[in-house]
Amino acid sequence: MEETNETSFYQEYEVFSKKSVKAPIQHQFSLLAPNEEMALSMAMENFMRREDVLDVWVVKRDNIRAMTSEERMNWTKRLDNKDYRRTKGTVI
Amino acid sequence: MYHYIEYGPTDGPRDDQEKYDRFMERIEAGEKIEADDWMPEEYRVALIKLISMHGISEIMGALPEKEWTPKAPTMKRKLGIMAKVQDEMGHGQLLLRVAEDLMKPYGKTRKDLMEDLLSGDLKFHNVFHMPTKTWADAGMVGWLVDGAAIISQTNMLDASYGPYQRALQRICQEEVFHAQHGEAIIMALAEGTEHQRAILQESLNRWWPSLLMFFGPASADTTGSSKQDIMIKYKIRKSNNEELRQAFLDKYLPRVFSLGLTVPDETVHYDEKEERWVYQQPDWDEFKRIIKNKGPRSKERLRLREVAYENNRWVRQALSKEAIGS
Ligand SMILES: [Fe+2]
Ligand SMILES: [Fe+2]
Repeated sequence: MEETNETSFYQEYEVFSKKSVKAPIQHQFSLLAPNEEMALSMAMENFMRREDVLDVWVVKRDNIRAMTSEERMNWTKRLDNKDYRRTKGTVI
Repeated sequence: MYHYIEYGPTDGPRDDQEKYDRFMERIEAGEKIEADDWMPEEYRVALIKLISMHGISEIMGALPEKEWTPKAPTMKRKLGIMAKVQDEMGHGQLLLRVAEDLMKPYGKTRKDLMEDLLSGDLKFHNVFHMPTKTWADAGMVGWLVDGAAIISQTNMLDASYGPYQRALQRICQEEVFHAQHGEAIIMALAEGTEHQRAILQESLNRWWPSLLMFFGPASADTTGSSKQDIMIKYKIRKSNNEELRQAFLDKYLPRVFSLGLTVPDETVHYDEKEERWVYQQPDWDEFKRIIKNKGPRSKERLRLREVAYENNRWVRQALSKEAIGS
């Protein structure tokens, strides 16, 4: 069972961090770790060696519902008909 | 986070001409391809090869580097070396993640990468197969090997593959620290005693062929295979091997000469008319042998990796899901 044991050691986590009090939390990168605690300490090792950091989040990749490639393709293209949302040219 | 099922690899670029054309259009427009986007298999395979080799080379490079920590002459230098080793391991981890996401459709994982390295299927950079002898080598590796890495990696800062391009932004920033640290060691030796200048020159003489080899042969004729055309076609990198080598010589040879150092090739000169450095080709057969793990330190370096992998096996087992029951 050695084989199975070792493979499940590597879980995918996405790492987010916050640089300053005014900055939003930002995606950094991903890493492999066996649990949240190790993911957090590896995030510090891997990504925060030099820069300022106020907070770090690690999120299991499976728990993120991101858009699929197709959804990105179809949902993120803006049609040129959103002027009314921007109050552009509105006479006040 | 990424979804592969719908967009797995295909048998070749031609089997899905419409998708292929759309993909090329996106690349031409400067868009970035993400891990779960459709991509031609040729692109995926080339990226896996490039990025897994890059990632594992970062780690294989950290192994000889760490040997300098106890030997470095001052506390400051020890800390500099330690910071660099940590950076390289970090670079390795970033890059392996990028490669692993690309390998998913093939069902391959980090374990496969480690095993491929130990079996010789996954190659690492020629420079990390070479021995280091004196403290001047620590400087030379930082100054010129990291310097060469900066030249080849900054050439890919706008690579068409998003995750690699993002990893490279971070990596290139940190490589600059390594090159500066190396340069500081070199300067101290260059301004030092006669013996210090002598070990500096001796080190450069030894590293010269490896530095020329670093960028790979100019064309596939030399070694029988070359991925550089595919890399340029798919906008992974901008320049070919020889252009990168010329950029390296352009940047560093004037600095080498201004320190009063020489290179072990009397034919080296800048041809004004052709606007290129003329130099004697290194032994490309030797290069082939080196990257096939037949270099002077190949076996020892692989053994270090193997020992680390074996010694830490119990940690991987103890913290696995099965053991913890989560
Ligand atoms: Fe590096
Ligand atoms: Fe480096």
